[in-house]
Amino acid sequence: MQMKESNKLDNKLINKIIKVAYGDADIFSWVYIRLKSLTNKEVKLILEEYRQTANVVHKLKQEDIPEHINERIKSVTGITDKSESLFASFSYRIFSFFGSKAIPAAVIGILIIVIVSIFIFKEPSPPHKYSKAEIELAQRQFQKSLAIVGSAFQKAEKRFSDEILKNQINKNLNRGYYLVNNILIGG
Amino acid sequence: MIITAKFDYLVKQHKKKIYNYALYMMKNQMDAEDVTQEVLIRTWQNINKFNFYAAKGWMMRTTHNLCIDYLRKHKKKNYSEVELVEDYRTEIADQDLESNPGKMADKIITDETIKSAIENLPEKIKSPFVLYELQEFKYKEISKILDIPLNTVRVNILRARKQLQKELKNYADERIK
Repeated sequence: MQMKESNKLDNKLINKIIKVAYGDADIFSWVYIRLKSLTNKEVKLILEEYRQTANVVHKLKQEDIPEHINERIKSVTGITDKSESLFASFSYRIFSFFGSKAIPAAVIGILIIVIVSIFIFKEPSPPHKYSKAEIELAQRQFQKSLAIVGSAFQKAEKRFSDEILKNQINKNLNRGYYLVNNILIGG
Repeated sequence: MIITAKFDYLVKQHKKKIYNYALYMMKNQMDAEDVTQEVLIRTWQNINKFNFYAAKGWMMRTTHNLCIDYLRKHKKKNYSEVELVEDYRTEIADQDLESNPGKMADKIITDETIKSAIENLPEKIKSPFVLYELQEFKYKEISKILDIPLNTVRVNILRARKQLQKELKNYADERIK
């Protein structure tokens, strides 16, 4: 018994074809079905049928709500065109503006860009300016430290000349001269 | 004043969706108008009970529940109880596609035909189909509105597409005869 080609199409493949036709298939399914439709007549036909229906479905116009319903709602809620104050209409605009999530997202995006740019292009901070008192204090501290160093040098010099030079070096030198004289002169 | 503005905004934004959903569900203008009016009044009465961004879901859920209540109360057998065609293969196999390539494409499918075919879908698969294809709700939103699992939403939309195609095919075949 000769089976028709259509019988070979399994349910999974048909589901994929439908999804592609209605435009909500993933990219891999889309490519797969597109390629398949080039070689398989039946796939092409089913795809075409569903796509035609999908196009009409997606283009169906929405009916407008009858005016008398608006009037009935106004009478029940007590909202009239006159009751809309400036504040109310302003609030409405705010609600309409932020009603869409895209707008807050865009605002947040712009804020992030602005903050990041401020950090990136921020000028280096100017050098710190010292006060007169700070400068004087620094000078005093510098002089004090110089005086400490100077006194240390003086102490060292005095000790060198008084103790080391006189007692240790001169004494030994004199002893040396004495010995040399004794040897050379012989008495 | 801010409540008035909020209500006014919600009505302007969603009344068309509510009315059209009710039209597809109720299949007649009078009942659809009643449902729409009831939903809008309930929205006004509960305006402080829901978050501004959750309002859309709340309004559509109320619309759906009211439609179901109306259909039950009026005992309208608007939807056929026929079993869904789970497998499209048998149907395709019955037709001599090779001898008639582009058979469906040659037939004129008018807006009214499609609308009528959508209206005739069983309620279980019609709701997610209308919300997804015509009202542009996401699967997740539909799942919340109809209080059914996400996967059921997907499956029912797929079934509705198949069923709709079948209805249109039948219609086209009748016209050819």
